[in-house]
Amino acid sequence: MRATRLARLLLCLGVSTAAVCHAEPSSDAAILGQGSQSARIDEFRLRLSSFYQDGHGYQSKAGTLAGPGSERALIIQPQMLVGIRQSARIHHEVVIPIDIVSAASANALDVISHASAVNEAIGVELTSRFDLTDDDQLTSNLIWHEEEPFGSGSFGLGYSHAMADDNAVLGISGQATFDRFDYLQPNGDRHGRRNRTALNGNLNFSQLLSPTTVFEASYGLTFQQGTLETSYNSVPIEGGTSRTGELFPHSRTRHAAQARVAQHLPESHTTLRAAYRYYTDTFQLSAHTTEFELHQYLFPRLIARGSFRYYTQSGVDFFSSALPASESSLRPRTADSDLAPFHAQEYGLKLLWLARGQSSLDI
Amino acid sequence: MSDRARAALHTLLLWLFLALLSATSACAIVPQNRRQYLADPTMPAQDDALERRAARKFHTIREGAAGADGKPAGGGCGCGN
Repeated sequence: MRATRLARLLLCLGVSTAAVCHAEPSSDAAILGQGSQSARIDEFRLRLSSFYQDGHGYQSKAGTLAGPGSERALIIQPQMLVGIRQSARIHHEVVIPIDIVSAASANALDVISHASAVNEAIGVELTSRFDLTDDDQLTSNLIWHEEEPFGSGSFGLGYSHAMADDNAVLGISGQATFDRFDYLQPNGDRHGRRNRTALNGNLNFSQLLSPTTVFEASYGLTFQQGTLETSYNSVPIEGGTSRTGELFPHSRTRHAAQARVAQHLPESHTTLRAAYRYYTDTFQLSAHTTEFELHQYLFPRLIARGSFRYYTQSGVDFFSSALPASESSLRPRTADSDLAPFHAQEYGLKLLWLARGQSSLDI
Repeated sequence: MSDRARAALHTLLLWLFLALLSATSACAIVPQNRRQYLADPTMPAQDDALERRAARKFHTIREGAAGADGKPAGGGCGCGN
C-alpha cells in the first residue's frame, strides 16, 4: 500500500523523460551540407510521459447520481520522433504517439464499455518540409489517429517566408480534420456512428529583437461542425434522481492568439521565457494563459528549468451541474468539468543533460 | 457582455495584435555573426516537438481552450476538446 501511494505521488508529478539523438556528420561533404543523395535518419527522439489525475466532476457517473463523480485517470504516453533527410531541400518527420489511459471514461461510461477500463490510442503524424528557396518553405502534414471508439484523419499545408536575412519569419498554415466515432449513449447503447469536421487556419510570426532576444506571435482560427458533444457524457438533473445526455450546438468557432518571448542573459548563463495566450469561442468560453520559464546552466552540459503556468477560463454558457427539470431537451447542456469556470496553477521542474555529440537526455 | 460588444472587443484585440506584429518588424537586424546566443538550446521560444505534444495532451484533456500553437483547436482525438 505504501509503495502504491509513493508510486502515485511520483506519477502525480507528471514525470516525463526524453532522449534525443542526432546524427553527427563526420565527412567534409556532410559537414558542408553536400551530403549523400540517399535518404538518411538525422534525428531520433523518444519521450515517455505520464499524467496522474485525481479529482471529481459532475459529468462522471463514478459516484452518486447527482455527482460529482470520480475523474481519476492515469495516462502513460510513449512517443517517438524520427527525422529523415531525403535531400538537401526535403526533410520528413514522423511522430508516433501512443496513449494508454486508465479509467478513460471516468467521464461517464464506467464498466459499460471496454473504453471505461483502459483505453489505448495510437497515431502517426508525418510532417514534410520542402525548401523551395533559401527563404521559402512549404510544409505538409498528415495525421492518422485511432482509439476506441474513435478514428480521425487530418491533412494540412503550410508556407513560411523568411525576411531580412532570417531575422523575421512569417508563416501561414491550414489543417482539415475529420473525426468519426461511435455514438454511445450514457446507458451504453450505441446509436450508429457520427462525424465532425474541423477547419483550422494559423498565422505565425517570429522576429529577432536583439542578439539575445526572440519574439514569436501566432493566431489560430478553428471552425468545427458536426456532433461536437461527447455522447456518453451525462448531466445531472436537479433533484439528483436522474441524468440526461450531454448536448452541444452543431458548430463552434474558436479564436486563439499567443505571444512568446525568450531573453538570454549571457553573463549569468540564464534564459527567461514568457508567454501569454488569449482564447475565446462561440460557446462563450474565454480563457487566459500565462507562462513563465527560467532556464539556468548549472554546469556547461546541465540545464535546470523552472516553470510556472497560470490558466483561467470563464466556462461555456450552457454548463450546469444540476439541470432544471423544466429545461428543454433540445437546449445545449454539459456538466463537463473541462468546460466549467475554473483556474489552474502549474509548477514544473526539468533537468536537461547535453551529452557528447548531439545527444541529450531530460527529465 | 452583449454579442455586439463581444464582437467589437474581439475585432479590437485582433487589430492590436496585428499592430504589435508590424511594430516588431521595425526592430534592428541581427547579423549572422552575432547570433551565437540565439543558437543556445534554451533559446527556442517553445519546447521541443515531443515535449510540446505531451504538454498539449495534458492541457487539452483538462481545459476548454486550445490553439494558437499551429495545431487545430479541437478535433483529432476522443478527448472531448
